Amino acid sequence: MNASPQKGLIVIPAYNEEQNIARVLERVRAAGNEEEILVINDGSKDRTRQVLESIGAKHVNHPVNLGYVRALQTGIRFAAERDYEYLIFIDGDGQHDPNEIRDLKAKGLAEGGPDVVIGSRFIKDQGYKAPLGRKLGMLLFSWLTGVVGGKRIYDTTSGFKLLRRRAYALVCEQIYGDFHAEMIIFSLIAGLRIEEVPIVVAQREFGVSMYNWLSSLLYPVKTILAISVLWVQARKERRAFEAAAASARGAS
Amino acid sequence: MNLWTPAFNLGGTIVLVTIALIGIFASLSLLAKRKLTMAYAMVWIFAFIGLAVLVAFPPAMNLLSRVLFTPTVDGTLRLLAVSTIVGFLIFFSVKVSVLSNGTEELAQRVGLIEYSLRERIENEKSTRAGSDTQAE
Repeated sequence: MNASPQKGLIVIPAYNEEQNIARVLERVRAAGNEEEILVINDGSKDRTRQVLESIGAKHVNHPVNLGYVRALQTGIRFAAERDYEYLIFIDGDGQHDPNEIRDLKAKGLAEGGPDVVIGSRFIKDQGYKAPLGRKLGMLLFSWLTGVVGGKRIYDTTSGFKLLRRRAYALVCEQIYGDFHAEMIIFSLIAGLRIEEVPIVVAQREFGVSMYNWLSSLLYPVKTILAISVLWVQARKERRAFEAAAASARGAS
Repeated sequence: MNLWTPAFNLGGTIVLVTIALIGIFASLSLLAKRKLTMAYAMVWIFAFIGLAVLVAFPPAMNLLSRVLFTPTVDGTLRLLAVSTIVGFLIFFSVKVSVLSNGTEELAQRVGLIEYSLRERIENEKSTRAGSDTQAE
């Protein structure tokens, strides 16, 4: 079954979200989104799979837990195989408000709109409070997007994003970090246009976050390493894109 | 230092050559039982052959000490041991990374194929149900 052009796909990565996932799906549908919804059950050890089966939700099951970024990549591969026009990522923990998908679409699907739209907690003060260490890390990576990528992105760790086909096709095989600052910088250098829309993020009600003290400690190192590797790749993509654009101009 | 000056006394030489021979035998035995693949068996066999040659033929060890600018033979052995360990760590890190990447890719493919199968089965079921209704 192939989706017709202009169709979008909402991808929800989920790991041990048995208490949240049904409500998240219900809220996404209730918000009037017409896109198909696909849950990537990333090898959950709880009853997430059974919950998804019982409510008849479309889902892909990873046989083992592969991590957040691989779950997103599976969603991208699914979309690429079926030729979706755009993808929307929303977390499976219920922290994002599905009503705000319309803001992402309004910006991203407009004529001449950007390739990526990020739901941002920081471009307007929406009352989001992060611990000091995390806040400093976010500031550093936000600053890096401006310095290295050429455009300041305020919320580099948001999991609420819209990617048009050109963007998801480009980033699909460049999976290194957590699909955060490194991917934003990669996309900016490669020539993609990224914009942010303000969103409000609620507190998680059930389950535990994927970040613990060790992953929070390793996160900046991992992201900086990924930025270094992707910087080289992105320059190549940029040159290829510019060469293709130049030959297209020459042909016309 | 004469190239033919023994690096170890007879006892030391016998112990080290025996260790190397046991290592080669163990590698071959694991290969025969299919507990070690050919590539890894070769890595270990070459490492043990290298050890045996260096220990049993004094000129090899002495020449190596001169090439590596190590003042003593035990310094050369230490340097070789550290380099071998670092080399093996890098080699196995690369192997593990490639395998882990491959496993993750496979797991993703399994998930996507399982989805396609489920979708096909559901489509067939609904087509069959539709044709049954028409027949009635």
